[in-house]
Amino acid sequence: MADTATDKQQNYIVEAPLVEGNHNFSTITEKISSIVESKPPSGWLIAFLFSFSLFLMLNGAIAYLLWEGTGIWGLNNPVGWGFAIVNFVFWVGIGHAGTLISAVLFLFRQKWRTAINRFAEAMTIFAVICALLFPGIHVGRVWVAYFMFPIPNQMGVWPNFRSPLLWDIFAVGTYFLVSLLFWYVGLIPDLATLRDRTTSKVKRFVYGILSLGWRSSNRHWQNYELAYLMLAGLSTPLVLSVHSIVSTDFAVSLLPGWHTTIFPPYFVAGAIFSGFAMVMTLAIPVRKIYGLESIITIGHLDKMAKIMLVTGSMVGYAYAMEFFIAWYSGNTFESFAFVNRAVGPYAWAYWIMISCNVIVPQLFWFKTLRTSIPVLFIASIFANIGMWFERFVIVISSLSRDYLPSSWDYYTPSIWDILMLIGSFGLFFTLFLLFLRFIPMIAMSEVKGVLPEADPHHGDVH
Amino acid sequence: MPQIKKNKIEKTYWRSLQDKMDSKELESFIVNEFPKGTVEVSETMTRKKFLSLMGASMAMAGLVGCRKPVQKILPYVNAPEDIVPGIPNYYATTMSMGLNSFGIIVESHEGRPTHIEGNPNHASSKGSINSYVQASILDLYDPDRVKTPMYNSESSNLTNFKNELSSSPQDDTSIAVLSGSFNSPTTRRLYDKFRKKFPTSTWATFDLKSQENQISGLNEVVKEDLLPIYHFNKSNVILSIESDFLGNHDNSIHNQKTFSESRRVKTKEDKMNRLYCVESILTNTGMMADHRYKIKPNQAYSFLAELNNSLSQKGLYKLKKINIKKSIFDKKYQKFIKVLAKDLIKNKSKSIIAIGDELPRELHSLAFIMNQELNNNNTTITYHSTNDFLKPSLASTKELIKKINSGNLDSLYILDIDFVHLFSHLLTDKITNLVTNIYYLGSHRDLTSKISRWMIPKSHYLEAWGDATSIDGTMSIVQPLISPLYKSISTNEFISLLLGDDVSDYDLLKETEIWSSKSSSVFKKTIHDGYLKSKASSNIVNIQKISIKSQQNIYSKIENYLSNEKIGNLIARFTISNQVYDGRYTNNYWLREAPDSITKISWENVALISIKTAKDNNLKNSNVIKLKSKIDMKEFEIEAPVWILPGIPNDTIILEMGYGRELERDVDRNYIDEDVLGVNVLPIKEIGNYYSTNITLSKTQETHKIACTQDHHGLDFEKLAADEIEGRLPEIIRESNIEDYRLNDDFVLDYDRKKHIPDNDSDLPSMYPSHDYSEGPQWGMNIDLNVCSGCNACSIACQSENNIPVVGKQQVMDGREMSWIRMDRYFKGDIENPEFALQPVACLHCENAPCEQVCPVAATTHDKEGLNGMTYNRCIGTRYCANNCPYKVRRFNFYNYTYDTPDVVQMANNPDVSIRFRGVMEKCTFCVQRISEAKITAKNEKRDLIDGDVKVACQTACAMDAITFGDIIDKNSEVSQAKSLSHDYTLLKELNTKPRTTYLAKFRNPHPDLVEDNNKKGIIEHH
Amino acid sequence: MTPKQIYGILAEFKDTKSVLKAAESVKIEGYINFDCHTPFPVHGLDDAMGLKRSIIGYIVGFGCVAGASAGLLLQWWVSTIAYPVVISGKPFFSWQAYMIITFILMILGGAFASLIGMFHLNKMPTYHHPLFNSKNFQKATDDAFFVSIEFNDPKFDLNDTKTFLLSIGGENIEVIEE
Repeated sequence: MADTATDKQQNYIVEAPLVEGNHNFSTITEKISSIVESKPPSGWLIAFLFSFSLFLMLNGAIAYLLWEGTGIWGLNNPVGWGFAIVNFVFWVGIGHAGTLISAVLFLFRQKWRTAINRFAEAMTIFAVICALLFPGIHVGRVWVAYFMFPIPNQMGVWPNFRSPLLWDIFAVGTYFLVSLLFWYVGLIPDLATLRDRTTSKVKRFVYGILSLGWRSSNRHWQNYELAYLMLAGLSTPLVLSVHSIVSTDFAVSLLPGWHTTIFPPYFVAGAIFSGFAMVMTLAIPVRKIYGLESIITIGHLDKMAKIMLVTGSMVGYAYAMEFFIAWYSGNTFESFAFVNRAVGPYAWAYWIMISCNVIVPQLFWFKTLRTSIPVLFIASIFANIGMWFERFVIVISSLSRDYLPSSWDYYTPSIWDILMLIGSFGLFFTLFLLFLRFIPMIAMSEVKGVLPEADPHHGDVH
Repeated sequence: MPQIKKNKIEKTYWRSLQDKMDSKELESFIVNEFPKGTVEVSETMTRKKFLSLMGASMAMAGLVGCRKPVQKILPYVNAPEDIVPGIPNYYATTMSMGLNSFGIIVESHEGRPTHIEGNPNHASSKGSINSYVQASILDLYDPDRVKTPMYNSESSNLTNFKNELSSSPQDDTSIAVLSGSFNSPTTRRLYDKFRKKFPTSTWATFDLKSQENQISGLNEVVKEDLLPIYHFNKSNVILSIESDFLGNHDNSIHNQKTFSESRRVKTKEDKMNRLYCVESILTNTGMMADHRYKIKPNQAYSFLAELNNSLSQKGLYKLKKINIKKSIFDKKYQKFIKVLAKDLIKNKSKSIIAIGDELPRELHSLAFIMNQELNNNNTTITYHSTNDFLKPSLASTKELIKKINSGNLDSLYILDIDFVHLFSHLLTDKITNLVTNIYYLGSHRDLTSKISRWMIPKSHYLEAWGDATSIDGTMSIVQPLISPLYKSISTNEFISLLLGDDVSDYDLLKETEIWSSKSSSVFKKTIHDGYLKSKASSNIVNIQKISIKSQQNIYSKIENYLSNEKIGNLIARFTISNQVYDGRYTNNYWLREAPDSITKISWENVALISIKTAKDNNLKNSNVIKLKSKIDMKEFEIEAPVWILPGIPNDTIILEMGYGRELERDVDRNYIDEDVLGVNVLPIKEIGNYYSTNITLSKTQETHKIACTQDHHGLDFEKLAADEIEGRLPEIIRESNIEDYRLNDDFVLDYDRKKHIPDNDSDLPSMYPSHDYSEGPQWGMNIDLNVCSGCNACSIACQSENNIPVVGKQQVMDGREMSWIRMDRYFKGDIENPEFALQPVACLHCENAPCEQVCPVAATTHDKEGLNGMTYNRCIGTRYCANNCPYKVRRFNFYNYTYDTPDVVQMANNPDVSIRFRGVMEKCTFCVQRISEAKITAKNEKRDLIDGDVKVACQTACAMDAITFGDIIDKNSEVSQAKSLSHDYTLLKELNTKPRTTYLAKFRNPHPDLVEDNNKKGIIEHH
Repeated sequence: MTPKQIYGILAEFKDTKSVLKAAESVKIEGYINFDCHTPFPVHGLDDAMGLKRSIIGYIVGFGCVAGASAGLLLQWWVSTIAYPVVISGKPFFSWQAYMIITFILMILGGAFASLIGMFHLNKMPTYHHPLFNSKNFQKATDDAFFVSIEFNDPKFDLNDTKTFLLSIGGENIEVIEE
């Protein structure tokens, strides 16, 4: 027993500590809970007001859309899908990193995830909310959108389960629910902590309800941990399937540039890429504003940068592969679709995509850049721009020039397209800021679990 | 009839009946006035009753407008008394246009005409129509028509007008009448009466699109007023010089019918005519041509002269040589003329030389002489006397203008001609200062109405009795389908008022000799058939030898024209619009929005120029240019946007007339911008000339957005795309020279085989077993690209049959046009002298429809008869189906385009087809309503459907008979026959969509000696 | 006033190591209805308390099967019995296309099963619990470690148990009332 203890000892020495500074259980509780309990920093208020006004603008735009009709968008006859679907795919993609961090890294026992998984998951949920908004409003007759759900009705009609759009509804819907469960289960112990710390009766009552009577009993921990593991196990295939299914919106159709089997893996890679980029974009300011550098360490950012490098390169590989296959297939429609992307009327979008998604991540080969906050921050933003344009290129360029040249046309977004894109960010950040304010943004119990003294055999040998 | 107040104007059409439906007064009227055994009014107004009552009261509506006793009009199939709600009646009537008239069958729902089709037995329509005839029904329901007589632009009533006429004593010399030409015996009778009564008065007849040169040209030689009718079915070789006989032509339907007869190819043995086209504009005829040679407008003289010479050289010795200093044509043209002459002589008495109406009379004479020497006259061309017609006369018009300018004109009667639009630039002063009183019979509050003392609403031809003669002499009856919606009168009634007597159009008709002479039974039969059987084609004039003398002076005329011809470096060529004709369809939104079949531009006219001309003046599409011209010492100028078009001569600007007519409108539509009018080009046109050579062009800084439905952003395709299209077209439009076809009759499969695509659709690999469609009927369509001239008749017919909304210029620019039939136009060969390919594409009703599987709510599904159906009220508008349609034939209602359709326009809607709301996808349904109607009829008659029971709208409209439709299970059906031909092919076959609509390949029949000139490599496509 | 019902006795331990030891000795002593309370799951505590492996895995497995079969059944019934329509000329039951929704519903079933299963086994949710009466116990979600022995344990005796807990190093021992 002593020997194993020494090994552990050794491990601690070689492996960099996951939590820096001299934190112990209570300091962690104090640090994180206090954020929720004390008044928010002024930065929070400004940010909130800003994003909330964008959110209001989004509502206005949607109201006008419902009043006037889909015509207010830049859509035309060949290009039946525009920003709405682009945004949908983009936001779903963003969501992926959250699940990935919380589920996949959990399965791989990556302890460093504990610092970021909580708000990564939150990000997932909010991103999926933004995503789900768009399929809802992009249909021509929103008021009968419920036709898509298999609800028994007196007309005796049912949806068509062969349609990728219906797959989307199920996949993304499920993805939202499961992420929500996963997130909430993870929250229970921390909610209990808040319940026990608070002095106000009201808060105690609310947190009491939310924490479902959690008393950190070990008999509970036992079931809890297994359930958590199960959820992680389920979320992993789910997160991989969701974006694959979203990609079938395109892959299952027969449009040149859409009809490609490479889509599922490359959409997933792209999703993880953009997801981590978004986590980074959020984490960097948050740790600064709330002084959490000791918990979300530079080491975390470094690890995320590495993942971005990998996934970014995968995406780049996919781009190259598309071209090769298009050419190799000998299908003239296909090969034109791709050449057209690179040099056609939408070349500008294509090259934005390439430079943001393929070239920028290459910076992360260098540790100095991986660990430089400004570089990371800017690069992560570029990555997000790039991933949005990837979806833009796929959706628009393929539609605008398909089989019969007589029906070719050029798509230009209207002001409403743009307002709704910006507005969706307003919605996202409003939700995210509310989360920062009212919910512990870091999983306290999990972080405590990875402190050295959390291990019963810690310090056996002196 | 209660006096209508101004603010009630909109309410004066019959819809107001409905509003008054429950009022005692109306009930009593219906009860009393109804013919026995129709409808009784019950206290409880059930829906059925309501409908039938509406229907019946429609039939009787004449009574409401208590203007005249109602005459019985006889329906085509069954008597008008039994209007069964929901079951349309069909009536025969006639629409006259120019000097011709078309027999038509009008579909009438509850007494409300909704759709027009050709009268199969009528010589000049033969069961088909053209886009103008089809769209004319919309004019009936035009919400902006004048609704009451206007006295100095204040609404008044007819009685006052009559009083004024009777009171004002008429002094012959100070009276003038301006009218278009007409072919109605009754009108002619009234005209003669008028001339007798006012011998010294002036009567000017003016047509913007005039046959005068044709007639007078023939008269020079034959000394008789004649019009030719071409019988293309009897001819192997056809030469068109500036003649758009397949498109904008008085006899277009007859021409298309006969032309397609000798053009259609079914088997290797079939002969196919050869069409040479020499023109300075680009016409539908030109697009059909096997050899099209562009000339400048003024070069027609030289061309005919040289053709004449080489004809006489090659054996027509009777033709006198014309001295030409030196040829203006290059080697290529020289060769062409020689070959052409050889070909014409080779096909003596089996050829036709057709000349454009607007060309100068000498050329018509010369062409006539050539035809004579080629023995075409009386065989492939028959000549018909026009003595009964009131012919257009430029002289009379000029005289009228002079008279007006001289200022001693007291009262001017204008019969449905927008005088101000046409002539104001020729006047020395404001018309109101020159003429005291102007009386205007017209349909719209246009510029002329503003300067008129009296504006009298003119009845639509579906509202009035009348008669008409076709060029071939067929006498037809014009019977009203509906009593006037507004307080309007017909031309005949108007003239009779001028004559001081006030007779109803029906009586005027009856008084005319040819009708009064008929027994009532014959007359009834005539009304029933729509035309007079016996009289047909009795006006043929047999052409005898031509006097040498007359020939001589024609030759000398041409010679001296050629000897002292001087040409500016820039020529403006004026032509009639394919959309607004001579301007009369300015307010017909179907025609305005239907993209021009050549330029693909909708709503407006442009100045068409060649690529070189554009480069020389560094012009780009939709740059606005200023055109100046000097006409007898007066400067005129217009501004127009330019559009670059391949295949038109350099330094030539083609301007479409008829646009820019300003109308005052009652209704303002949300999505339709009424101010989009195009440019009035007449000011720089010298009256009577079809081109003008003293033109100066200058570029302005503005640009004007043009709504073009194909290649939305003009010529600026990058090389990449241009090459790609070039590569694709051989697959999309499969064609072959007729000779090669005879050697390799399944050439359509060459492409597929090169791509290793199996010959039969059924052999294409698929993950799923294909659905079993062996149970008939299974609907299918076939379109013969070889005889499609892209005339748009089908798409307008579709619009009328299926209530397709008009969306306006802005929406068209945004790429949201709704027309279910997209007329694709491609250019082939080099940009300067392209060949053309046309392809109408509507929903192909694929058996493996890609649109269906992606619809999340199963709103588009297949029925057991193989129709790809749209369930409108299930559609939620994801637009996924449209995205996944490889043919892009689905149309989406981006806005609620129909919500502000005026009530009166709604009357033109087909009640068998539902109106689509915003957010709903729509597309061609194979006229499913007609299919069900046919099935019900067959069921009632206890029989099976037989081929021909179902005729879809586009099919009947097409005068070229390019479209066949029917049951593909029945191997003997017309469509199965067509599909079984070796040159039938599937569009984008490799996608394994198995479309029910297939195409017959296009053939070209170039002259062997000219082939290499044609063989431009590859295909380019642009705008 | 009526004497309050006793729930049990609560003892605090200073760190993970000592709570682990305590749990072991409580088990050895023969107590059954006892529990440990730690701010985070402590490695090895389950064995120390002698707990059997949780059965949640089976519940989830069942949920997955239920979800998947429900999904496939729905699609089969809809497309062949309730609403058979010809779509793109494909068979009514195009199972290849139906696999996706089947899979998704499998995941959904499993996820809900795991949550419900956990709630069921932990007798959650509840708002109140006797232990919450102890002021000290609030540290259980922060940084303190507790062992609680319940009154209804056959071996429970107010004084003996108290002394026993003291003997194994328990601190501020208190009696918890219902």
